[in-house]
Amino acid sequence: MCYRTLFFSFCIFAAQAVVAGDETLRIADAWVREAPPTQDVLAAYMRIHNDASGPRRITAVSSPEFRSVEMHRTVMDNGLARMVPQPDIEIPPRGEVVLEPGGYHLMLIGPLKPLRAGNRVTIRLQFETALQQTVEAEVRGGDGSMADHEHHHH
Amino acid sequence: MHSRLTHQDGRALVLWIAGALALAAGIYLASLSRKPAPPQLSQATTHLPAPKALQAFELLTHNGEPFTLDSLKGHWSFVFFGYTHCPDVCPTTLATLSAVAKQLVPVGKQSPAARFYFVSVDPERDTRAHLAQFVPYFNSEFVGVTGRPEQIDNLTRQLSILYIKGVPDAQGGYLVDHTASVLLLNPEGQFEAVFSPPLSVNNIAADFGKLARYYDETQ
Repeated sequence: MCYRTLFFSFCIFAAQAVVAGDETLRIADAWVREAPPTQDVLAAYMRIHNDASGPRRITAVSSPEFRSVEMHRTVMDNGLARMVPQPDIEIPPRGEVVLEPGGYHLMLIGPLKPLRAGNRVTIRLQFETALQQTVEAEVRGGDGSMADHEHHHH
Repeated sequence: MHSRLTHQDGRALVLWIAGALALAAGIYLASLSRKPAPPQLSQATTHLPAPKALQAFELLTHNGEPFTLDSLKGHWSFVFFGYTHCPDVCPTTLATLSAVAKQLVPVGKQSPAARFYFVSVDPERDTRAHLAQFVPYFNSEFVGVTGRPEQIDNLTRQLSILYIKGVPDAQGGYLVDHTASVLLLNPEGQFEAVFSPPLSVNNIAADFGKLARYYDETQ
């Protein structure tokens, strides 16, 4: 067995894995719900697909357009809506997590400028493996997005 | 005996026919006064077995007008309890209710349009001025309601609405857990039905139509 070949093969494989790490994470349909101008907190939603064979965990989120961003989950407890802060969001291997109204969502706190439908918000997702993914979310008005939401699920 | 009918047979026959006719007449008369069947509603809608009358309360709308039991009379009312510092459930529900309101307009042409109220469970931060900025954004016809905390409690208790104020963070911000159902009050201001989450625009609009028709038929 030629160890040099083995070593080079390993290097190429490792390099592939690092490059593939970015490609196995797909984020789609990122949007922010437009809010009245006096609102201090807005919600962001998106679909996160993890095609890797291991789980991926988002440990922190930030946005240049907001003072801070938190991860939350709306939980229905016998008709009582509770917004539970999440220390992280884990996406299972070869699976997805959907951030949507009534479920997981990002709380964007303290807008640094007013946002209207059609504007874009940059959201940076920090993963535990030092991987960082930047998403461009579109600001959408209240009514239009609700209609879309119903279409997806019925 | 195969011969002709006896006098007793004839009498028995007349009695049977009279009885059958009486029964038929009875069923017909009963059907005229019988109440219409209660409507078939979607699973997320609960129709109270009997409408619940409410006791007096004293709150304020975002327009500065009194919001009392009298405000609820003469039209159907959709009531949702929430707070403005809520980024997910409350804006989502108000957007849903706005879509419901738009679906109802063609149906309710004869009678006064249903009204939609957003009652704050966070009167500390949700002042009249703040509600005036928040509520009309979702629908210009919607009415925000706030007031003294004990009057908010007066109303939530009567409607079995729960709310729990969370622990404030370093900046003094806090979340409020709250019942996310939408309540329906009839034109007498009585509690008639509950729409539980997940809220569906089509189901709420359809069920409202059935409930309103049933109410009209049983007056």
